Amino acid sequence: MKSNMLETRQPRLAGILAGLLALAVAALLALTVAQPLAQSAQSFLALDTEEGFWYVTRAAGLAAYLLLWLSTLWGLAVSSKIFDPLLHRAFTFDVHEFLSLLAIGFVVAHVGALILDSYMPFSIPEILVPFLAPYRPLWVGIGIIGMYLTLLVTVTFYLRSKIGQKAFRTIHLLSFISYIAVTVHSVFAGTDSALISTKLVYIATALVIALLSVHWWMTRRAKQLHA
Amino acid sequence: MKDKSFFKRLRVLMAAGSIAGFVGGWALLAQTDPSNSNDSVAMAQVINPTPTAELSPTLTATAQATVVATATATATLTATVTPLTQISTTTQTTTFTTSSQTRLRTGGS
Repeated sequence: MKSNMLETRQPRLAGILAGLLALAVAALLALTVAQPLAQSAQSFLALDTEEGFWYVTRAAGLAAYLLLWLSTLWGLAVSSKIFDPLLHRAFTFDVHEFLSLLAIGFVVAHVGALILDSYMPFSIPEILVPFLAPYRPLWVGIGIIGMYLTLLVTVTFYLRSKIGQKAFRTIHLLSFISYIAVTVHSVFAGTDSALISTKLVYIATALVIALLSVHWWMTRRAKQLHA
Repeated sequence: MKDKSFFKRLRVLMAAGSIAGFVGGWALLAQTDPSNSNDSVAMAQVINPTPTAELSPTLTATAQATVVATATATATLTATVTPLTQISTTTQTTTFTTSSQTRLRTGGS
C-alpha cells in the first residue's frame, strides 16, 4: 500500500520539477531573447517615438480602406452573380460579410490609435461627431459619416431575417455612398495621399469599383426588363 | 461540412493576411518617414553640430596655472634685464590672472 503511494507520488513530483524547470527556462529565455526582441521590434515600429501611434493610425486607415474596397468589390460581384458558376452563393456571401467585419476591425484600430496618439491628438467627440475635428474637419467629417454608414450596412447582415430582404437590399445600397465617403476621406485627409504610389492605389481601386458598378447596374436593369 | 472547415481556414488566412499587411505597412511608414530615419538624424547633426566637449573647470584651471607660470617666468626674466619693464609686466600679469579667475568662476557655476 505504502509503496503504491510512493510510486504514484514520484511521477507527480517529477512533473512538478519538470514544470518548474520549464518555467525557469522560459523566464531565462524571456530575459535573454524576448526582451531584446521586443525592444528591437519597438524601435523598428517606431513605438518608442512620439509618432508611433500616428503610424498605426495611417497603416490601419490604409488597411481599412483596402478591406472596405475588397468588401464592396466582392459585394458587387455577388450581386451581379459573377461568382455563381464557380462558387456557392452562401460561401461568397460569408466571405463578403467577413471582409466587412475585418474592415470594421481596422476602422476601430484607426480610430483607437487616433485617440491614443499624442502627435496629433483627437478627443472622443471629435472622432465620433462629424465636422468637429481640428484637422481637416470637412474631410474627417465625411470619413466619420462613411464609418457610420459602413457600420449600419454591416449590422444589417445580422438583422436580415428581421428586417426582410427588401429593406436589407435598400440599406445595402448605402454601401455605395459609404465607399465614396471613405475614398474622399482617404484622399483628402490622408497624410500619405501625396505619395504617387498611394494616389495610384486610390485611382485604380476607385476605377475598378466604378466599372463593376456599371456592370452591376446593367445586370440589374436587364433583370428588371425581363421581369 | 467540408465547405465550413475550408471557410474557417480561409477566414484565418484573410485575417492573418490583413494583420500582416497592416504591420508591414506600419513598419514601412515608420522606416521611410524622414522625421524618424537615422539618415535624417545624422544629417541634422551635420547641419547643426553639437559641441563634443566643453571646457571643464579643471581644464580652465590648468590653463590658468600655465598662463600664470609663464607670466611669472617672463616677469622674472624681465626683472633681470630691466626693473622698469618688470613693473609693467608684473602689472600686466596680475591683471591677466584676475580676469582668468573671473572666467573660471563664471564657467564653473
